[in-house]
Amino acid sequence: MKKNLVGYAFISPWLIGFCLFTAFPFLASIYFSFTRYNVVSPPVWVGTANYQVLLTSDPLFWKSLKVTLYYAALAIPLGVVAGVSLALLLNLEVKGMSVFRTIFFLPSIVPSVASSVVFMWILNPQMGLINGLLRRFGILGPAWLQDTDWALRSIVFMSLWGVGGSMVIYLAGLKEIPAHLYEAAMIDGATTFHRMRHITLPMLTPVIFFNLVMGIIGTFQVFTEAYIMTQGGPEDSTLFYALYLFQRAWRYLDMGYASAMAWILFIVIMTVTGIVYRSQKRWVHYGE
Amino acid sequence: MESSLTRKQLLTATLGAASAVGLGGCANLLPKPRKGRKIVNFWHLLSEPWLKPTEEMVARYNESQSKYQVVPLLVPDTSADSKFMLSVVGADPPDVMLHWTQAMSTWAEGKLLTPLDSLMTREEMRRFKMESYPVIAKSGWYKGRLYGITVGFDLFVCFYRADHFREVGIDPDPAKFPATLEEVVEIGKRLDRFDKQGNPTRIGFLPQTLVNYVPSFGGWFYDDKQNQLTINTPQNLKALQFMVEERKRIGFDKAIRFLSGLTSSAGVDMPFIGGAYSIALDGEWRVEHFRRYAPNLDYHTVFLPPPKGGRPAASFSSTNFITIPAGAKQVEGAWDFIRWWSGLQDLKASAEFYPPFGWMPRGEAAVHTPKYQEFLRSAPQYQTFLNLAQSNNIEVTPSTTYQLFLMDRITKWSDIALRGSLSAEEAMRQIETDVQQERARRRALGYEE
Amino acid sequence: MRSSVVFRLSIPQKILAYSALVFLSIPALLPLLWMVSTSLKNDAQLFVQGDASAQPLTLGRLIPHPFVWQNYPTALNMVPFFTYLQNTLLLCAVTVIGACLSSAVVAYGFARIPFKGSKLLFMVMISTMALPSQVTMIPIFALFRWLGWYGTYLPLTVPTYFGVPFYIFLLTQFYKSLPNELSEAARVDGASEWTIFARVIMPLSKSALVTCALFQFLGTWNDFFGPLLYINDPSRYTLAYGLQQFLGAHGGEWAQLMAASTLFTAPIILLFFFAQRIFIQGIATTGGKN
Repeated sequence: MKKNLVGYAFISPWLIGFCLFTAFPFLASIYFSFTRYNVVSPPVWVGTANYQVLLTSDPLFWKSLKVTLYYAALAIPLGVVAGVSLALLLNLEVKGMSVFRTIFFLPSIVPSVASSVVFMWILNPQMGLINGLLRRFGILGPAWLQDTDWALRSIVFMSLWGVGGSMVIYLAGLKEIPAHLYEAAMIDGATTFHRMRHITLPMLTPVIFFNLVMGIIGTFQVFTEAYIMTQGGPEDSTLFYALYLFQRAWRYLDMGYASAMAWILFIVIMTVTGIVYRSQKRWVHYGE
Repeated sequence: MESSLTRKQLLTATLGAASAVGLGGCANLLPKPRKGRKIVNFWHLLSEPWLKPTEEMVARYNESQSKYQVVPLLVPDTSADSKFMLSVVGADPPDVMLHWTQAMSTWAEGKLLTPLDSLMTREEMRRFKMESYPVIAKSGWYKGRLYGITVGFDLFVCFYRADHFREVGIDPDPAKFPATLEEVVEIGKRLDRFDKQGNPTRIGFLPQTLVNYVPSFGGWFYDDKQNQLTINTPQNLKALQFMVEERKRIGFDKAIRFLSGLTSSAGVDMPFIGGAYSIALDGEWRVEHFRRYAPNLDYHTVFLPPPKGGRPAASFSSTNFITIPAGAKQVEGAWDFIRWWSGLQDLKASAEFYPPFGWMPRGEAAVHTPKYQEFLRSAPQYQTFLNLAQSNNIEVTPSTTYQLFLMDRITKWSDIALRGSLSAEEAMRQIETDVQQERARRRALGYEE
Repeated sequence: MRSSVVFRLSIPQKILAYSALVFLSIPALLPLLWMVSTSLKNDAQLFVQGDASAQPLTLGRLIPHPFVWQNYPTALNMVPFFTYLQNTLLLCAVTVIGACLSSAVVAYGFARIPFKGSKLLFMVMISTMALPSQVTMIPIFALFRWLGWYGTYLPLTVPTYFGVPFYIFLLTQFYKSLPNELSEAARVDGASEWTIFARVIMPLSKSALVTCALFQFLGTWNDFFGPLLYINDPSRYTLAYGLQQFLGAHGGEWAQLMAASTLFTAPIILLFFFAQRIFIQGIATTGGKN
């Protein structure tokens, strides 16, 4: 009994914080999503109108959902492949590796406001670094952030630039793989490819799973890059869900509508994460 | 493994640095309030080259009286609207704010603004209606109440480079400038210059913003008298088709690249000064900019010639308003500052605040003052704007609650058409569909039209 | 940590590895180098005059010629950089202390005191990490407005004093790995749980706490959304928000913009070099043990 009290006393900061900053807002936002609300005036109950309009007659809602899903479908797998490959490369035992690790990790700590500003400059179609380099090879580079087909891809490239953050996690995962597995494989005369296919990658799956889940949660909330670089354009090609939600809330001052959008986002994230979670039995390898 | 000493040092160093900076108190560019004065917080969007004039104007106001101190703050227009709403909603708004987003009615309906007519005396209201240019007198109203007073007109006329005209053997005399838009296009073609790869290095005439051309085509998006939307009309469509045609001539992709290589900020490398365009439709503030950054620039201004059968002396006016946000703490001070700036206190005296901004004063009386005449002599190209201000063919943003949405959609879909991704017809239909859908959405949620 | 196996590489393999590493380093570093390089140029060096296609980019153009230092004083004159820096560091210090202390207390409760409902609550806490901030953004804004905290630092700092789930998770993992005998001995001496936590466990958890501190520092330093929502008064702006405002006001002035970005990024990179190993190790623990 006393144990319980002491336990609750210790976790009470979080418990109070949870009630104030998570549980209450969580419930309040369900309520707001059924109202017309601009924060200045009290909310007015409108039933399911927000959801109905969103799902049946708001093309931008679908557009922003599509943009976000497309971005997630590109950025998450590419991020995993790039992160794992880079980690495998950096796990080799050659001299001066710590310098390279630093080099590849550095971009991931550059604040996103700064990297957005820098990429706007690098991707400038006329004066930017990239098109300047391409011109050297006689290639006319696209207009990147100002080109409807390339704007979203540009933001994917930018996310790959910051792949160092997940790379270190993979690297730590690689270091955790017990040596005796490899030793046994060597005795059996396994090739490099074989070792990779049957030991390294399977043993790395828990880490990949972890990064995948974090990646899903993160990519569905991308905001800063689009807010600073494109404001959703050109032609809504970078209208991320979080950006459209922000615009509905703080440009058109429609909190009820924005709350309904937030709830739909929550359900989408939960569904996708749930599917990935379910799938882990098939491919995630726990234990040795 | 790291030794714990290094970590300890690190933590101490971080916190030490934090507290050192905290205690040190570094060079501070922020103004300090003067004693005995009430602070009036003033937010504006006037980045360079308006920043200095704004600060000077505020300094003059602060000198002119001893009750209030106006403290200006630049809030860049990328985040200004959101910051404004957040501040009102968060119950800590500025006391005065200058806007140029066309959302007066939306905000008035959302109770984000203080009606100014409640602060005006009957005499002031009479003068406001009588003295002001017609466009200013009719702007800033929503449901019979006045929420904003215009300090900058934002009218648009044709600027053209006399030196470029002479280069191709055309007489640059404004009296001989073509009378129709079709002829302007023909001259524009002769002024285009391309490099070896066929990329434009100079575009004679490149129409850019749909709302600026629609009035000359005899169209507009809203009929004030009937209170109804007039989006997908033949006139509006013709305006967009005309612009799309011009882009097509250059090549959609080439035009995008050309534009992205130009700086958008004012300064010596402004596109018109640098010679990227020969003819451009632009606002009245540019005259002052050119005078400042390129005093020897050889150019003239004329009304935008209408297309055949179009409307002469027409323009869109996206006025800059000064407003008092709802919940402002220093309403008296805010109103005193607005009266002073807008010339409600003394219209003639206000004449001298406007030239550095390159704006027109609120009413004609201020133009006929020695100060303003002196400015006109130094920038004769400005006269065209003063003439245009008298015109009855000037359109303003429709005062509906979904105006912001409407203007956003017009910008978006016309941009898509100008990129060549969609035909002009389809783009106009899309604007119509989007706006009707938004209206239906607002009705479904029980909003005011 | 288990020792990992060493694969010896042959000379050609080494050459291959090095060339891959060097080749990939270019895109990793170039943006930052370009940022610094641009910040040291004048407009004449930035804007290609006339026919752009005739002047392809050469490596020589990476190095400014001449070096123009003026962009830095100019940028510093346009914004009260030191005020923003002071604000940012203050916020960093306050949130780092709050997040670390409160998370440590909560993590101790979860890790080392078996109480009823502990497992369930821990699961709840973990799952809140997946909750998108957009869901709670509006009600939390309304809450802070009601409290009259809008425009102050309180909305940015106070929540960190109630434990941060991610750090609680990290610290819980860490506390669970500490041997039980440590606290048992103290318990026999009649020490309370609080004493055990403060006297026995806390001194042992410096490395884990520093990891959390670095994360929080980075998070607060980079936070753009918080100040965008809550901060009004320019004397309270932070660097991240100030940089965005600078971009809005001086969008076309790339050289000054890059100077400002360099000033904003440099402290983080310095901090990184200072604490490199803890940084990487700390981030690695994130996914190391599931």
